[in-house]
Amino acid sequence: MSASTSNRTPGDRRVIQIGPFHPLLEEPVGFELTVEGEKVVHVDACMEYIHKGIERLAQERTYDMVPILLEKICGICSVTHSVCFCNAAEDLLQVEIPPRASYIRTIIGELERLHSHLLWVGLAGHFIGYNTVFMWAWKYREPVCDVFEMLTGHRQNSSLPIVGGVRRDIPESYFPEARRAMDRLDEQVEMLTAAVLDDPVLAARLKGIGVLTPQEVVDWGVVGPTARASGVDTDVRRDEPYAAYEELDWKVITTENGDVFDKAVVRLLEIRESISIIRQCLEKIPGGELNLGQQHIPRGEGIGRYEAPRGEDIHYLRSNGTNMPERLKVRAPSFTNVASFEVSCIGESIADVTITLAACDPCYSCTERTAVVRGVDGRPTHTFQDLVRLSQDKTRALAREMGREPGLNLL
Amino acid sequence: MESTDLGKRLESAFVDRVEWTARSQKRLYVSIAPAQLYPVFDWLRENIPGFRLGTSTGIDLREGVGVFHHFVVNGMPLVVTLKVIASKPDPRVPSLAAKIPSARWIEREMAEMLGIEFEGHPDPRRLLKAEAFSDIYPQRRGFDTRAFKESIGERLDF
Amino acid sequence: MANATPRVPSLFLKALKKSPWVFHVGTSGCNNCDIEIADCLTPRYDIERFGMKLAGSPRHADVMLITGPVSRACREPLQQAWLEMPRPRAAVMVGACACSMGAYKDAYSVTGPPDKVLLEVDPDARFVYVPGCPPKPETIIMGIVKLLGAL
Repeated sequence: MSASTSNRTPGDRRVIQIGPFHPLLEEPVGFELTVEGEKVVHVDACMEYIHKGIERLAQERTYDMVPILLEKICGICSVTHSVCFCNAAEDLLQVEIPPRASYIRTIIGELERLHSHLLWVGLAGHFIGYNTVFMWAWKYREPVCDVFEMLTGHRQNSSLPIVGGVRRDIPESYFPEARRAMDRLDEQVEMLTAAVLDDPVLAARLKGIGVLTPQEVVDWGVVGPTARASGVDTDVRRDEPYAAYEELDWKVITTENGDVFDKAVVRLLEIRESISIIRQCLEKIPGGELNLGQQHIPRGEGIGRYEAPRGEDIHYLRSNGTNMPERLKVRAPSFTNVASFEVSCIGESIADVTITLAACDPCYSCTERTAVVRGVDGRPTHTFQDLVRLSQDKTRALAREMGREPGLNLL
Repeated sequence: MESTDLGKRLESAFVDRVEWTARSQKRLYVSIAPAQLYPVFDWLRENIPGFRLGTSTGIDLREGVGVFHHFVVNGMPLVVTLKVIASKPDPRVPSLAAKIPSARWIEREMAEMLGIEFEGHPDPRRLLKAEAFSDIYPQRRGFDTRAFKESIGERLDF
Repeated sequence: MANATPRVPSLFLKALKKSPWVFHVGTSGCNNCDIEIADCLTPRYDIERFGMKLAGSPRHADVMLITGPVSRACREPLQQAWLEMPRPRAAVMVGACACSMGAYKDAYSVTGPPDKVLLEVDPDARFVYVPGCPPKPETIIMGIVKLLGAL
């Protein structure tokens, strides 16, 4: 089934419900697209089903348990939410964590950024029909998870951060292997970046699609690589340095055009920056204490900010002096980024919707919601696969026009 | 810009209408009456470049239902929190979403979690539409998960 | 697990064991398990060497991989997807949340672990449990292989 087979007249508006369950998407995603011919005129996100009530749950847990619970907000941003909560609690307490703890937080945070960005590159490649990119990127992601496991004992959920530092040390005996893994990854990502940026089909396919202007970025509160691709220079790691970022040498990547291509460029270049940050941390990490010991959280309020792989994460913590938070508000970056689909998708053709939606690296678990499985009351239902197929077909057609065979290996 | 400077500037612009505390040089908390939300927001947006809404927190306090709008500034370590308290039992506050689109989703979520009515919201539908939650406000004081699950006839232990 | 449905012809069962098609349902989990399942497809783990393939629809699948606790709104879609699967069918509960609701046990928005939800509509449903938060891809593959051995 494809969009072109549904019988409609030009100028006729109709709603396409994307009722998705796709094996390659990490989560189900649902959108209602209102289309006029091939053009999308309105997007409504179907927000249901995945709401887990984790804020309420955190308010019934003690401060030591909360960082571990918050790792379960989102599988990819596990370090993000637990460190962000610790930032909020440390803002409430007005304490500085020991230097070794801040370096450990930086290392696990950047490893997370690495595997998250590689994951995105892979998925984006799949959406536009470059499954080779998908397989490559995910293959290169594995050594990052291995390093994470060597250092913390788990592929993603480290359970390291606690209020006032980190729970355990990371073993220095694995540092040489971690360095070697970073060296190998650097070469591989350099090759991947060059391959993606030089490909004329990709450029033709992704440039000028899903553009967000800087004004739209500020109005919709878009954050992270999605904002930086539009030339909005915002990065919490530099704006409000937490952990060890102030002592390290790195730069914020921004580009000007705000289209999907630039969002890919920003992410690919950030991967190289993250590798450099991890290398510096492994060199410079000081010895000493790991945490400040058990902290009593007094009455008060604190706000933590953290630069997640997808953008700025904010936690608001209010304490009433007991051993549990009175209120914990979690705002994950995808919450604002996903909302901006209402502008970035308008005017695009249906074939471009998947990649536009994917361009901000949406994380629906973070956004606390998911989507419907089946169409309702006989409305035409496109599965996400149909849209992916449309998107891949467009790439194929472009490649043929250019006289190239981009090695499309469709699942 | 440091939070105390901004607090002083706000105070001189809105004499007797704002009440601010700076917990550190990075955090400014400003308490205002619901009617002052638009003027204070407009003033802040005009005077601070890169000013955007980070998020909002809905919180059930003893004195009323609080709506805390947390604003962040691109390129600066500053978070400005505008605190608006609406009176119970029928909390109503002006909607910030009428001014900036980034407040749309978060206000829809707060309306659902706490039963706050945002006056002037352009799109006041439910965001998390699961029907069992209509008229149940999980972030209100006194919400009891066990009692809620019993009331809709669900099992508690598995 | 032990008693396979007797109606199934042995040739069919043999073919099924050689090439099980897998359908993946995420029921409001944290997506970490879902990523590990997708990871099984990629070059290092490559589940296709076992003849396994991720199917796009429950109607084409033999095995359902379920991740996450079941939120109130996901309940009916999950049951519906299960009933659409042809017999013989089995499910693998991937991760702590699917096995026992894990961290979300006390949340107001979840209704139960997926095995109990499926048993409501199909008392004959058979399951394999793969604990872990998230389980490593090797563990997930081992879970499916054990399931095939028991069919």
